[in-house]
Amino acid sequence: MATTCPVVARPPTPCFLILAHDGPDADRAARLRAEHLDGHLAHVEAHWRRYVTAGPIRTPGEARITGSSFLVLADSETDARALMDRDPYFACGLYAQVEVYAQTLAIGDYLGGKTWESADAVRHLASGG
Amino acid sequence: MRLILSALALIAASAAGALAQPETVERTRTVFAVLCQDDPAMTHVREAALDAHLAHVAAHVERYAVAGPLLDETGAMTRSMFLIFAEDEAEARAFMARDPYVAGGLYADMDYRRFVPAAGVWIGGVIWDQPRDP
Repeated sequence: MATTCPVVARPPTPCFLILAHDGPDADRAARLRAEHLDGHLAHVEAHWRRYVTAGPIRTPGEARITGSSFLVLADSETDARALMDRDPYFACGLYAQVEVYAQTLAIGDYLGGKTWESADAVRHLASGG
Repeated sequence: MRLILSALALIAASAAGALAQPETVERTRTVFAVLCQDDPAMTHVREAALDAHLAHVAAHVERYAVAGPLLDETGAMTRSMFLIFAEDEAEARAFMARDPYVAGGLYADMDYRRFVPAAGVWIGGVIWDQPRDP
């Protein structure tokens, strides 16, 4: 396919991937999700520009929500965690395990293209930098 | 002229309002989140297959919502995250299998989750109605 992928600027703000997994007790998780839904959605609405994207995750083929994924724009991991800590879904103890990673936003519809000029320009990063 | 100025003032006012409150937007196509963890014995693939991997993802840019490497505490690339458009898990796996990093055995683990983009700047708002029912 002769698609030309535009080169775009790297986003100025760092991004963090936060994967939050519900606890193993499905009934408890469903109850907490229902109880704190309004507060959670109000929190997300108030800070919606801080998220590249955010939403529930499910095991493929299953209806039950098993966790949440957040791509958060933040100056630091501390800053990203502080925003999460104020989210009622975090504060109520819904999540049993939370993974936080520094996310490089390299390509995709959100960016409108790719962030590298050439493979040579990013080779030093892939070599373990 | 006055009409145009009034229209501009209205647009400016609504833009200022949008800073506080997100728009309600339509749901996007089905998205899968694929979290990939490098095999410590295969990290050389990141460099060896870099050109082919970057060419592959650039050629299929329309398949990704957003994707890129994840950095560990030392700044090294040890994982990758792909948010891809796919109808179902089988299509997602078939598409990912064509990535030279996957074909080259870079990843020891690939976790597939169905993801609903519910809020954020990528979709330009939130997918739920506002105000919500009390």
